[in-house]
Amino acid sequence: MRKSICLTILAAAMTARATTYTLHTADGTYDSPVAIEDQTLTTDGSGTKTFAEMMAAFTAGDTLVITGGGCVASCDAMVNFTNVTSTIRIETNTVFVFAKQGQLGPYINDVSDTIAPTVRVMPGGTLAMKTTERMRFSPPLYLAGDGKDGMGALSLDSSVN
Amino acid sequence: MTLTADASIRFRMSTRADFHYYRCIYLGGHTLTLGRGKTLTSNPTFCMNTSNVDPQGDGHIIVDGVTLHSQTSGAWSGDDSNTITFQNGGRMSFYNNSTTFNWTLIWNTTETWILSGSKDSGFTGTNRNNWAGPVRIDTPSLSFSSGANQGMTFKETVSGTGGLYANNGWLQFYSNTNSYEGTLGLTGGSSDSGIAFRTPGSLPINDTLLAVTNARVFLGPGKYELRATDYYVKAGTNITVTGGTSQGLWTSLRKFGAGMLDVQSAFAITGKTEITEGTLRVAAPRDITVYSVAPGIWQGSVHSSNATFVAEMDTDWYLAISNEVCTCMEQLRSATAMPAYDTYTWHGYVWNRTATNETWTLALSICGYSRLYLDGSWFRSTDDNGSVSHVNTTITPGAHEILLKVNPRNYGGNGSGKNVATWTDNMGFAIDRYGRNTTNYWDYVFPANESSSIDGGNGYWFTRDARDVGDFPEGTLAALSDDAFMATTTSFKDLTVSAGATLDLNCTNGVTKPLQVGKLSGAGTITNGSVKVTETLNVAAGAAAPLTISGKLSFAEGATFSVDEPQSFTRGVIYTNVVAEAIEGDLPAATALFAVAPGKISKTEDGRALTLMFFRPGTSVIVR
Repeated sequence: MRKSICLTILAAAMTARATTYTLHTADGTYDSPVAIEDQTLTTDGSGTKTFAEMMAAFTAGDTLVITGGGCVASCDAMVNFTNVTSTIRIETNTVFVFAKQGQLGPYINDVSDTIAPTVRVMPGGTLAMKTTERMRFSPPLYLAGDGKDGMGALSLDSSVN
Repeated sequence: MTLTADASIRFRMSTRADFHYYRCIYLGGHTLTLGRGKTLTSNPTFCMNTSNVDPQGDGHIIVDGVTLHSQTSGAWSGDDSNTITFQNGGRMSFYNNSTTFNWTLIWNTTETWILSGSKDSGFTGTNRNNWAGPVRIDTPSLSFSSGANQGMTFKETVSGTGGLYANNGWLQFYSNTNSYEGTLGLTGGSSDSGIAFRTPGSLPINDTLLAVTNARVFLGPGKYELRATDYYVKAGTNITVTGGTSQGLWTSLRKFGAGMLDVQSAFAITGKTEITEGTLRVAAPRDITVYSVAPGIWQGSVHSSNATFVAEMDTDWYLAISNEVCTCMEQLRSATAMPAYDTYTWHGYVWNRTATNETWTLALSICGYSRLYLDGSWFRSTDDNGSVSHVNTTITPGAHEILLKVNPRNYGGNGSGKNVATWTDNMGFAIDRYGRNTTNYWDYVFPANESSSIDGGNGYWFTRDARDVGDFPEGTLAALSDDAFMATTTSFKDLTVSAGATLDLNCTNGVTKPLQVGKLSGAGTITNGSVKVTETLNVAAGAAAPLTISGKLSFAEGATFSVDEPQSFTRGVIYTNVVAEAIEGDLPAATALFAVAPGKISKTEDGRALTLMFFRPGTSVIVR
């Protein structure tokens, strides 16, 4: 009985540490997305954090939700948004753009995605790879729908291969 | 990558994207669309490089205006309930591809299918570039653009309103239910160019058009039926078959263009056959393979070599070398050493004379390189191994073909041991009809023993093939089964071999059975076999070069001699019409011809040429 109680307490503590950060913006276009590091995010409750604060507080299992119908560009600091228990979720009508390796979480190699977060694209949302350099990414990727304005759930926009 | 609903991946630029290194697209039973963004007009490539697809049920893929590139190996699970559709300029590309696709492919695009990289050699391999699921062609043509000698294999049904076209490569079809309706075309030029139809029905029985240029056409074993349509070759090699068909017989055949048309199956052409250019090679004549009531099995041997004995183990070789009746298969000639690399073969039928399936034990113990075939399938083998190999198998009622081949290689002589020896002395081939599956030699009956090779009751235990008409009293040719039809030789009702063209009878294994020709004419060459004219030997013009036969020429009783243009012959001049290795038997009758214009046909003194002369006016013929 004592062990069971301890496990319950431990699980509750772990659940409590996982936080959902919501970036809600209608701003930005595909050609001129807003920078994620300039955005304020809402935490689980009513609190807010800057992007830098979110990354400083990042814990494995956290979820980043991008929503609001805008277009948001990722940044190099997202390489620290790590762990397979973490999630980046792109909601309906919203575009999340990444341009370099690491902007979708860390990358080890082609055969290992043990440290990259899950990327989940919801119907109507778009994950857009918009790059001018050769890059690789390997997060567990969940796709649904045809993307914002038919861009595709995954949009490939690379000038090099 | 996992789909949680129907989803798309779309390109905004035409830069290739790779999905690779054993990663998998899990479709979750949904549909993945690979497509273009709205502003892209060029065709980008989505590369599956050593990567996998799992449809997870009812998953599908649509390739819309994009190239799906399959490179090296990968695993696509699923079956023909899963579909991949190419549309709106979408296309497929194979590079070093060895991935096997069991999905249904729907081709609804006017783009080409690209084949490149490593390839199988000619028509023999199907490991690379094969589509193992059904294919449906909804556009006018599924076209391949490929490098030299690149080929594509279709293992399942190809259907739809369209056809197929390949350039400088090869195509082969295995399904017997193909029904595509468009033209099948191929332009050759490389050494492996051609189309192979591996089974009847792989060449659809409809009004589809077959057009081949500078390439070969292979027809695998079987009875092919062709509807009334045009089959033609624009130039170069190959075949044209016109007219309707009845009972699987081609009504006419015209071969023109340089090069060879190699037909691997026996066929009969009931109309006119014209070989105007190049070479038509027909399947080697086979004797009727209808088992007779005659007891015993055939045996034969051939002097072989280290280089060829493995090939001689192939099932077809017995046709040439089984030429003596074996009433005693004992000891595989153990009394005297079998010469190294001589191949011995025994062929016949073993009967289950009961009305029910029986479990028999088949055993093999031979010191040498041997192959035992049962009903045409390789069943057991040895290679320098005297220990017994035995297995139980179910034998259905009736006759079962057995073929045993032995080559001692250089293992020291004996192929088997003495009649009373133990198994370790290499007893040869034996059967226990009670299925005891032991190594006790006394449980077995040895076909090697003369007394046991004949079983009384309601028939012989072992019987052999018929070798001539009188040897199969059970039936007539007209009543032969499909299998028996397969074994008949090619025949022509009306054959013309034009000057410069060749008919290759392919009798390179010692078969002497002549080709049956109703009406024979022309000035070309017939090689590798003999000819028997059953109706008419026809001469078209006086100035024509002789027809040359590098075999024997004979005439059936009642055969006649005819001339198309008697006015082209100058009276009193001796024309040589046919030159053969030998002209045997009676010459054809020319009664009707000579009633109009008196003359004479005769053999030359050496018996090799047939000549014709019309008498000068006023010539007297003195009959003594």
